[in-house]
Amino acid sequence: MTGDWLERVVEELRRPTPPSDGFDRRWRAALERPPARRTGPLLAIAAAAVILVTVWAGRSRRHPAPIEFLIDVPTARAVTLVGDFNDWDRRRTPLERVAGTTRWRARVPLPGGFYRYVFLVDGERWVADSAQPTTEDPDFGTAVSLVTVR
Amino acid sequence: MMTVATAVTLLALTGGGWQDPEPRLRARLDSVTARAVEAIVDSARIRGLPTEPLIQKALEGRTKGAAGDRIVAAVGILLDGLGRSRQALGSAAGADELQAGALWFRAGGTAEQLGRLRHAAPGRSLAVPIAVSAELLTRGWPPDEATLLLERLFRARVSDAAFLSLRIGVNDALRGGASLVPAVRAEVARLAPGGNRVP
Repeated sequence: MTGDWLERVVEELRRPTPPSDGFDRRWRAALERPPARRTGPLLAIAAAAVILVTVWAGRSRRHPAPIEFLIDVPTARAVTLVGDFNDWDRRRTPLERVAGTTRWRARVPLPGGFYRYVFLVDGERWVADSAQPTTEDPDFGTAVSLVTVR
Repeated sequence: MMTVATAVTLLALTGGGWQDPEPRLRARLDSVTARAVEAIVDSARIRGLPTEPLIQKALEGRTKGAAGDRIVAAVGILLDGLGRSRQALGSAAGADELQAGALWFRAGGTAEQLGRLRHAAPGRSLAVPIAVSAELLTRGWPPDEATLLLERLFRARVSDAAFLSLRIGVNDALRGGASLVPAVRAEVARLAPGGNRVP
Protein backbone atom coordinates (compact mmCIF):
# COMPACT_ATOMS: atom_id res chain seq x y z
CA MET A 1 0.00 0.00 0.00
CA THR A 2 2.91 2.36 0.75
CA GLY A 3 5.10 1.14 -2.14
CA ASP A 4 3.95 3.79 -4.63
CA TRP A 5 4.43 6.54 -2.13
CA LEU A 6 7.97 5.46 -1.29
CA GLU A 7 8.78 5.14 -4.97
CA ARG A 8 7.61 8.71 -5.56
CA VAL A 9 9.83 9.99 -2.75
CA VAL A 10 12.84 8.02 -3.97
CA GLU A 11 12.19 9.16 -7.53
CA GLU A 12 12.22 12.79 -6.46
CA LEU A 13 15.43 12.29 -4.49
CA ARG A 14 17.13 10.60 -7.45
CA ARG A 15 16.28 13.28 -9.99
CA PRO A 16 19.59 14.73 -11.30
CA THR A 17 18.97 18.30 -10.37
CA PRO A 18 21.22 20.57 -8.39
CA PRO A 19 20.14 21.38 -4.87
CA SER A 20 17.67 24.22 -4.84
CA ASP A 21 14.62 25.52 -2.97
CA GLY A 22 12.38 23.96 -5.64
CA PHE A 23 13.97 20.56 -5.22
CA ASP A 24 13.55 20.72 -1.44
CA ARG A 25 9.90 21.72 -1.77
CA ARG A 26 9.18 18.88 -4.18
CA TRP A 27 10.70 16.07 -2.14
CA ARG A 28 9.26 17.40 1.11
CA ALA A 29 5.85 17.61 -0.54
CA ALA A 30 6.21 14.05 -1.80
CA LEU A 31 7.17 12.95 1.70
CA GLU A 32 4.25 14.71 3.35
CA ARG A 33 1.65 13.51 0.84
CA PRO A 34 -0.32 10.70 2.54
CA PRO A 35 -0.01 7.29 0.96
CA ALA A 36 -2.93 6.37 -1.31
CA ARG A 37 -5.44 4.02 0.35
CA ARG A 38 -6.06 1.00 -1.81
CA THR A 39 -8.70 -1.59 -1.01
CA GLY A 40 -7.20 -5.02 -0.70
CA PRO A 41 -8.92 -7.88 -2.54
CA LEU A 42 -9.90 -9.69 0.69
CA LEU A 43 -11.54 -6.57 2.06
CA ALA A 44 -13.47 -6.12 -1.19
CA ILE A 45 -14.66 -9.74 -1.11
CA ALA A 46 -15.72 -9.39 2.54
CA ALA A 47 -17.64 -6.19 1.80
CA ALA A 48 -19.38 -7.84 -1.16
CA ALA A 49 -20.30 -10.82 1.02
CA VAL A 50 -21.77 -8.54 3.69
CA ILE A 51 -23.83 -6.72 1.06
CA LEU A 52 -25.07 -9.99 -0.44
CA VAL A 53 -26.05 -11.42 2.95
CA THR A 54 -27.86 -8.21 3.88
CA VAL A 55 -29.77 -8.17 0.60
CA TRP A 56 -30.57 -11.88 0.94
CA ALA A 57 -31.79 -11.44 4.54
CA GLY A 58 -34.01 -8.54 3.55
CA ARG A 59 -35.35 -10.54 0.64
CA SER A 60 -35.99 -13.52 2.93
CA ARG A 61 -38.06 -11.36 5.23
CA ARG A 62 -40.10 -10.05 2.32
CA HIS A 63 -40.31 -13.43 0.58
CA PRO A 64 -40.28 -16.11 3.30
CA ALA A 65 -40.00 -19.74 2.30
CA PRO A 66 -43.38 -21.36 1.66
CA ILE A 67 -44.78 -23.84 4.16
CA GLU A 68 -46.68 -26.76 2.64
CA PHE A 69 -50.07 -27.68 4.03
CA LEU A 70 -51.40 -31.07 2.98
CA ILE A 71 -54.62 -32.92 3.75
CA ASP A 72 -56.13 -36.15 2.45
CA VAL A 73 -59.90 -35.85 2.05
CA PRO A 74 -61.16 -38.29 -0.57
CA THR A 75 -64.70 -36.96 -0.83
CA ALA A 76 -63.97 -33.23 -0.82
CA ARG A 77 -65.06 -30.95 -3.61
CA ALA A 78 -63.18 -27.94 -2.26
CA VAL A 79 -60.74 -27.32 0.59
CA THR A 80 -59.55 -23.99 1.91
CA LEU A 81 -57.08 -23.03 4.61
CA VAL A 82 -57.95 -20.47 7.25
CA GLY A 83 -55.75 -19.25 10.04
CA ASP A 84 -53.75 -16.53 11.71
CA PHE A 85 -51.79 -15.97 8.48
CA ASN A 86 -54.76 -15.00 6.32
CA ASP A 87 -57.07 -13.23 8.79
CA TRP A 88 -59.20 -16.37 8.96
CA ASP A 89 -60.56 -15.48 5.54
CA ARG A 90 -62.09 -18.58 3.99
CA ARG A 91 -61.67 -17.26 0.44
CA ARG A 92 -58.03 -16.31 0.52
CA THR A 93 -56.14 -19.64 0.54
CA PRO A 94 -57.81 -22.41 -1.48
CA LEU A 95 -55.97 -25.73 -1.69
CA GLU A 96 -55.29 -27.45 -5.00
CA ARG A 97 -55.93 -31.13 -5.51
CA VAL A 98 -52.70 -33.08 -6.09
CA ALA A 99 -53.17 -34.68 -9.51
CA GLY A 100 -54.16 -38.33 -9.41
CA THR A 101 -54.61 -38.42 -5.63
CA THR A 102 -57.19 -37.57 -2.99
CA ARG A 103 -54.81 -35.11 -1.36
CA TRP A 104 -55.08 -31.34 -1.35
CA ARG A 105 -52.16 -28.99 -1.03
CA ALA A 106 -51.33 -25.32 -0.49
CA ARG A 107 -47.96 -23.64 -0.20
CA VAL A 108 -48.07 -20.52 1.92
CA PRO A 109 -45.09 -18.20 2.46
CA LEU A 110 -44.98 -17.57 6.20
CA PRO A 111 -42.62 -15.31 8.13
CA GLY A 112 -41.34 -16.65 11.44
CA GLY A 113 -44.05 -16.93 14.08
CA PHE A 114 -46.66 -19.05 15.79
CA TYR A 115 -49.80 -19.73 13.79
CA ARG A 116 -53.15 -21.37 14.50
CA TYR A 117 -55.08 -22.73 11.55
CA VAL A 118 -57.63 -25.23 10.33
CA PHE A 119 -58.84 -26.67 7.03
CA LEU A 120 -62.36 -25.96 5.84
CA VAL A 121 -63.76 -28.76 3.71
CA ASP A 122 -66.59 -27.99 1.29
CA GLY A 123 -67.24 -24.74 3.09
CA GLU A 124 -68.84 -26.41 6.09
CA ARG A 125 -66.57 -28.92 7.82
CA TRP A 126 -63.65 -27.82 10.03
CA VAL A 127 -60.76 -30.30 9.95
CA ALA A 128 -57.57 -29.96 11.97
CA ASP A 129 -54.19 -30.90 10.49
CA SER A 130 -53.10 -34.28 11.84
CA ALA A 131 -49.51 -33.50 10.87
CA GLN A 132 -49.17 -30.75 13.47
CA PRO A 133 -49.98 -30.30 17.15
CA THR A 134 -53.68 -29.67 17.57
CA THR A 135 -55.63 -28.33 20.52
CA GLU A 136 -59.30 -28.25 21.24
CA ASP A 137 -60.64 -24.73 21.09
CA PRO A 138 -62.96 -24.13 24.02
CA ASP A 139 -63.85 -20.69 22.67
CA PHE A 140 -65.39 -21.54 19.33
CA GLY A 141 -65.78 -25.29 19.59
CA THR A 142 -63.50 -26.65 16.89
CA ALA A 143 -59.99 -28.05 17.08
CA VAL A 144 -57.18 -25.90 15.66
CA SER A 145 -53.70 -26.89 14.56
CA LEU A 146 -50.50 -25.09 15.51
CA VAL A 147 -47.41 -24.45 13.47
CA THR A 148 -44.27 -22.63 14.55
CA VAL A 149 -42.15 -21.16 11.77
CA ARG A 150 -38.53 -20.20 12.49
CA MET B 1 -63.55 -13.66 32.69
CA MET B 2 -66.99 -13.00 31.26
CA THR B 3 -67.16 -10.16 33.75
CA VAL B 4 -63.96 -8.66 32.35
CA ALA B 5 -65.27 -9.02 28.82
CA THR B 6 -68.57 -7.41 29.79
CA ALA B 7 -66.78 -4.54 31.51
CA VAL B 8 -64.64 -3.96 28.44
CA THR B 9 -67.74 -4.03 26.26
CA LEU B 10 -69.49 -1.49 28.46
CA LEU B 11 -66.42 0.70 28.48
CA ALA B 12 -66.29 0.63 24.71
CA LEU B 13 -70.00 1.36 24.43
CA THR B 14 -69.81 4.32 26.76
CA GLY B 15 -67.32 6.13 24.57
CA GLY B 16 -63.89 4.68 25.19
CA GLY B 17 -62.56 6.77 22.32
CA TRP B 18 -59.86 4.25 21.40
CA GLN B 19 -57.24 5.46 19.02
CA ASP B 20 -56.06 3.81 15.83
CA PRO B 21 -59.01 1.50 15.13
CA GLU B 22 -58.06 -1.77 13.50
CA PRO B 23 -59.59 -1.76 9.99
CA ARG B 24 -59.78 -5.55 9.80
CA LEU B 25 -61.98 -5.63 12.88
CA ARG B 26 -64.20 -2.82 11.62
CA ALA B 27 -64.56 -4.59 8.28
CA ARG B 28 -65.51 -7.98 9.68
CA LEU B 29 -67.23 -7.43 13.03
CA ASP B 30 -70.32 -5.50 14.00
CA SER B 31 -69.49 -2.09 15.44
CA VAL B 32 -70.17 -3.00 19.09
CA THR B 33 -68.00 -6.12 18.97
CA ALA B 34 -65.30 -4.32 17.00
CA ARG B 35 -65.09 -1.54 19.59
CA ALA B 36 -64.94 -3.99 22.46
CA VAL B 37 -62.18 -6.00 20.80
CA GLU B 38 -60.30 -2.80 19.97
CA ALA B 39 -60.42 -1.88 23.64
CA ILE B 40 -58.78 -5.20 24.53
CA VAL B 41 -56.20 -4.78 21.77
CA ASP B 42 -55.47 -1.30 23.05
CA SER B 43 -54.96 -2.67 26.55
CA ALA B 44 -52.50 -5.25 25.18
CA ARG B 45 -50.62 -2.55 23.30
CA ILE B 46 -50.28 -0.47 26.46
CA ARG B 47 -48.97 -3.49 28.37
CA GLY B 48 -46.49 -4.33 25.62
CA LEU B 49 -48.18 -7.61 24.78
CA PRO B 50 -48.57 -8.88 21.19
CA THR B 51 -51.77 -7.58 19.62
CA GLU B 52 -51.95 -9.59 16.42
CA PRO B 53 -53.01 -12.86 18.15
CA LEU B 54 -55.94 -10.98 19.68
CA ILE B 55 -57.05 -9.63 16.32
CA GLN B 56 -56.73 -13.07 14.78
CA LYS B 57 -58.75 -14.60 17.61
CA ALA B 58 -61.57 -12.18 16.92
CA LEU B 59 -61.45 -12.84 13.18
CA GLU B 60 -61.43 -16.58 13.85
CA GLY B 61 -64.58 -16.20 15.89
CA ARG B 62 -66.23 -14.23 13.13
CA THR B 63 -65.31 -16.85 10.51
CA LYS B 64 -66.68 -19.60 12.74
CA GLY B 65 -69.93 -17.73 13.19
CA ALA B 66 -69.60 -16.97 16.91
CA ALA B 67 -71.75 -14.31 18.52
CA GLY B 68 -70.19 -10.97 19.42
CA ASP B 69 -70.15 -11.49 23.18
CA ARG B 70 -68.50 -14.86 22.74
CA ILE B 71 -65.82 -13.30 20.54
CA VAL B 72 -65.14 -10.56 23.09
CA ALA B 73 -64.93 -13.12 25.90
CA ALA B 74 -62.49 -15.28 23.90
CA VAL B 75 -60.25 -12.32 23.10
CA GLY B 76 -60.32 -11.23 26.76
CA ILE B 77 -59.32 -14.72 27.91
CA LEU B 78 -56.45 -14.71 25.41
CA LEU B 79 -55.25 -11.32 26.69
CA ASP B 80 -55.29 -12.73 30.20
CA GLY B 81 -53.32 -15.77 29.03
CA LEU B 82 -50.71 -13.67 27.21
CA GLY B 83 -50.22 -11.53 30.32
CA ARG B 84 -49.85 -14.55 32.61
CA SER B 85 -47.46 -16.11 30.10
CA ARG B 86 -45.21 -13.10 30.17
CA GLN B 87 -45.20 -13.11 33.95
CA ALA B 88 -44.22 -16.76 33.99
CA LEU B 89 -41.78 -16.76 31.07
CA GLY B 90 -40.22 -13.34 31.58
CA SER B 91 -40.13 -10.15 29.60
CA ALA B 92 -37.68 -11.60 27.07
CA ALA B 93 -40.21 -14.19 25.91
CA GLY B 94 -41.14 -13.92 22.24
CA ALA B 95 -44.68 -13.55 20.92
CA ASP B 96 -44.69 -17.20 19.84
CA GLU B 97 -43.81 -18.33 23.37
CA LEU B 98 -46.47 -16.10 24.90
CA GLN B 99 -49.10 -17.56 22.58
CA ALA B 100 -47.98 -21.09 23.40
CA GLY B 101 -48.03 -20.20 27.08
CA ALA B 102 -51.61 -19.01 26.77
CA LEU B 103 -52.47 -22.43 25.35
CA TRP B 104 -50.70 -24.06 28.28
CA PHE B 105 -53.06 -22.26 30.66
CA ARG B 106 -56.14 -23.14 28.61
CA ALA B 107 -55.06 -26.78 28.71
CA GLY B 108 -54.92 -26.78 32.50
CA GLY B 109 -51.29 -25.90 33.25
CA THR B 110 -50.32 -23.38 35.90
CA ALA B 111 -48.04 -20.34 35.97
CA GLU B 112 -45.74 -22.05 38.46
CA GLN B 113 -45.27 -24.97 36.07
CA LEU B 114 -44.64 -22.67 33.12
CA GLY B 115 -42.03 -20.80 35.16
CA ARG B 116 -40.31 -24.10 35.93
CA LEU B 117 -40.12 -24.85 32.20
CA ARG B 118 -38.53 -21.46 31.56
CA HIS B 119 -36.04 -22.12 34.33
CA ALA B 120 -35.20 -25.53 32.88
CA ALA B 121 -34.59 -24.13 29.40
CA PRO B 122 -33.51 -20.51 29.72
CA GLY B 123 -31.91 -20.19 26.32
CA ARG B 124 -34.35 -21.91 24.00
CA SER B 125 -37.74 -21.08 22.56
CA LEU B 126 -40.47 -22.99 24.35
CA ALA B 127 -43.09 -22.50 21.63
CA VAL B 128 -42.90 -25.95 20.04
CA PRO B 129 -42.49 -27.98 23.27
CA ILE B 130 -45.41 -26.15 24.86
CA ALA B 131 -47.59 -26.51 21.77
CA VAL B 132 -46.93 -30.26 21.70
CA SER B 133 -47.55 -30.49 25.44
CA ALA B 134 -50.76 -28.44 25.27
CA GLU B 135 -52.19 -30.96 22.84
CA LEU B 136 -51.34 -33.82 25.17
CA LEU B 137 -52.68 -31.94 28.20
CA THR B 138 -56.05 -31.47 26.51
CA ARG B 139 -56.11 -35.24 25.96
CA GLY B 140 -55.57 -35.91 29.63
CA TRP B 141 -51.82 -35.83 30.31
CA PRO B 142 -51.55 -34.53 33.90
CA PRO B 143 -49.83 -31.10 34.01
CA ASP B 144 -47.63 -32.08 36.99
CA GLU B 145 -46.21 -35.04 35.15
CA ALA B 146 -45.93 -33.02 31.93
CA THR B 147 -43.80 -30.43 33.71
CA LEU B 148 -41.55 -33.09 35.21
CA LEU B 149 -41.02 -34.86 31.90
CA LEU B 150 -40.54 -31.63 29.96
CA GLU B 151 -37.81 -30.64 32.40
CA ARG B 152 -36.18 -33.99 31.75
CA LEU B 153 -36.40 -33.49 27.98
CA PHE B 154 -34.92 -30.01 28.28
CA ARG B 155 -32.03 -31.35 30.35
CA ALA B 156 -31.41 -33.85 27.54
CA ARG B 157 -31.41 -30.93 25.06
CA VAL B 158 -34.13 -32.48 22.95
CA SER B 159 -34.74 -30.48 19.77
CA ASP B 160 -38.01 -29.08 18.44
CA ALA B 161 -38.01 -31.76 15.75
CA ALA B 162 -37.71 -34.41 18.44
CA PHE B 163 -40.67 -32.92 20.31
CA LEU B 164 -42.71 -33.21 17.12
CA SER B 165 -41.53 -36.80 16.72
CA LEU B 166 -42.66 -37.49 20.30
CA ARG B 167 -46.13 -36.41 19.30
CA ILE B 168 -46.11 -38.71 16.28
CA GLY B 169 -44.88 -41.59 18.41
CA VAL B 170 -47.64 -41.05 20.96
CA ASN B 171 -50.29 -40.92 18.24
CA ASP B 172 -48.97 -44.15 16.71
CA ALA B 173 -49.08 -45.82 20.11
CA LEU B 174 -52.63 -44.62 20.73
CA ARG B 175 -53.72 -45.99 17.36
CA GLY B 176 -52.14 -49.28 18.41
CA GLY B 177 -54.32 -49.37 21.51
CA ALA B 178 -51.98 -47.88 24.12
CA SER B 179 -53.15 -45.49 26.82
CA LEU B 180 -52.03 -41.88 26.74
CA VAL B 181 -49.83 -41.62 29.82
CA PRO B 182 -47.80 -44.81 29.26
CA ALA B 183 -47.41 -43.84 25.59
CA VAL B 184 -46.01 -40.43 26.52
CA ARG B 185 -43.69 -41.92 29.13
CA ALA B 186 -42.34 -44.40 26.58
CA GLU B 187 -41.63 -41.62 24.11
CA VAL B 188 -39.91 -39.50 26.75
CA ALA B 189 -37.78 -42.50 27.73
CA ARG B 190 -36.83 -42.96 24.07
CA LEU B 191 -35.74 -39.34 23.70
CA ALA B 192 -34.17 -38.88 27.14
CA PRO B 193 -33.10 -42.28 28.42
CA GLY B 194 -31.88 -42.71 31.94
CA GLY B 195 -34.02 -40.07 33.61
CA ASN B 196 -35.72 -40.41 36.94
CA ARG B 197 -38.76 -42.57 37.14
CA VAL B 198 -42.06 -40.76 37.06
CA PRO B 199 -43.85 -41.29 40.36
